[in-house]
Amino acid sequence: MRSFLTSVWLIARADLIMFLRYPANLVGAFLWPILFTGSAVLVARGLAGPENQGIEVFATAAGTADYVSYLILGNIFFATMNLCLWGGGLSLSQARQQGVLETHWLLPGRGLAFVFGKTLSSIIQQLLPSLALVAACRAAGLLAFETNVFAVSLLLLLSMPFLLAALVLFATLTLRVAEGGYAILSLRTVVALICGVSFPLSVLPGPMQTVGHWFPLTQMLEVFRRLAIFGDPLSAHAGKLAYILVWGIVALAAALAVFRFVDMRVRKAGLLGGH
Amino acid sequence: MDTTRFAGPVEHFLLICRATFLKNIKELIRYPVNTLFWVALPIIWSLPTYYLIMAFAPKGSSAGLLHFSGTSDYFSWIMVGLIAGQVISDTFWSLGFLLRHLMMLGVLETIWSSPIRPLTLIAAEALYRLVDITYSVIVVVILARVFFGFTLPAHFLASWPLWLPFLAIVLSAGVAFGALVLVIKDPGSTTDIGAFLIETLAGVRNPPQAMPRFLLFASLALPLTYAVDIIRVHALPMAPLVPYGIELTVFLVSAAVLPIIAGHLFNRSERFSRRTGRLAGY
Repeated sequence: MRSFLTSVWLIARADLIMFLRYPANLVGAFLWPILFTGSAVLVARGLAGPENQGIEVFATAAGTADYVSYLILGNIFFATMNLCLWGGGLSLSQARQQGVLETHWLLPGRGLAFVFGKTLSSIIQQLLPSLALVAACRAAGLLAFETNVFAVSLLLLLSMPFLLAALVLFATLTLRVAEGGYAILSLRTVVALICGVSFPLSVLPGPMQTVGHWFPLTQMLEVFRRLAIFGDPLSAHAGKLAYILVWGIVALAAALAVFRFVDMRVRKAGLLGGH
Repeated sequence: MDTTRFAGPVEHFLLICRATFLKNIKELIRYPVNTLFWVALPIIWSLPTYYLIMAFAPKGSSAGLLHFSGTSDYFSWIMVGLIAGQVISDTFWSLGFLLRHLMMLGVLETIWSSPIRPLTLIAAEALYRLVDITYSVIVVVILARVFFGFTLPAHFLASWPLWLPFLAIVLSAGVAFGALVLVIKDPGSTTDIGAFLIETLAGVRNPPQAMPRFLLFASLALPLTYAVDIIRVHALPMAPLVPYGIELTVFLVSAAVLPIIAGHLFNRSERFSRRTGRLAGY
């Protein structure tokens, strides 16, 4: 376990050194969450009007007319999940393009350490900008945040098994499909849709709504919004939290099994090298 | 081998174009998953914006847009934006990422050292991208009609002459961006931010009037804002962002001047990169 954690840290450190080598990356890490969120808010403002003339439909579906908080929370949630987790999968794709995937993968140690190391680096890169955005929006009076850091941390902790399962599955996809970058980019858009990142789920077609309601990340975002906008206590959502946790444990066990199987297959078939 | 010894300048350029088209098509065919997503991506990436619109204006009529720009027909308004946005992002991603892609594969220096003027190479890539963009736009128009019910504005086709100066502005911005990439080396986040920022400031998805004052100033400093707005004004019964005469003048002057500036910037940046040895490695 100790050697696994050491490998994770060394890979994360190497990735962070590469990240800091290009100053544009650092600027991007801070600007991107602002832009992503700001653009959605501007689209919504264009639709709502300066005095909320066009807010009625949204307010009925979302249960709040505070579309700014709704979108900021949704987008911060998505940007964090996006960059922290699927960053691990995408980085495999980049390593393959750079021609170093096979070398890294065949080092003594477990391939999963490579994925987790890359993800840890993504988390370090993105956590600070996301927190800075929340603080800035809160200071500017744009964001309702009627909860505390403890409740949000606990929510994140309970969701961790499912998030790790998603990470491992995306990494598996990238290992198996030589050019998995587009697949990951498209899949994360689909996840953004069924989570209702920028809109209430009720605007989706029926089957997508059903999938969305069952999807643990949707439940997680819903709880996050209820805590922050309406000031609900975490205990009011105990059922949903248990659902997210159980689903996460089952999904993680399945994802690890799939990962081991695919890892073995790609090593045998020599699918790691080349691009 | 210097191909200009055997061919005239036009033939030389056509040979480079053929090689560029073949290289890109081969790369596209080599990765079938990419090809699949190349078809599907334009529509997949429009879905979050589409459902956000649905959450406010399910029938396509927006009271907010009416207040800001004088038309409530959001579906037609956004359709022009979707097309303009597709052209902008395709250009930025392709011209910016072209150099990064070659840099990551470790072949940029080799290609750059061949007896081809770098700007000619970029021009050939730009031509390929025009074909790519045309395809993407057609896909966006068809799929947006089939899946979203968005229709082209009634006078959209009459506005086609305006798309030529629009393309001149966008491609110039793409070439200038390519020049920047040569200097900064890793354009990943810069491309994302550059294309997204320009689309947002130019009012591709949101009316510029909905922006806070400081952003509106930045938006009005951008020639693309006038370009997108003037196409919308011709296609839809809506008020221009600034008086029409000023908008048209800025638009046409930008289309004439920006290609010259972009070419100059690229040549300077290319000389700088060659002198400082920034082309090799990643």
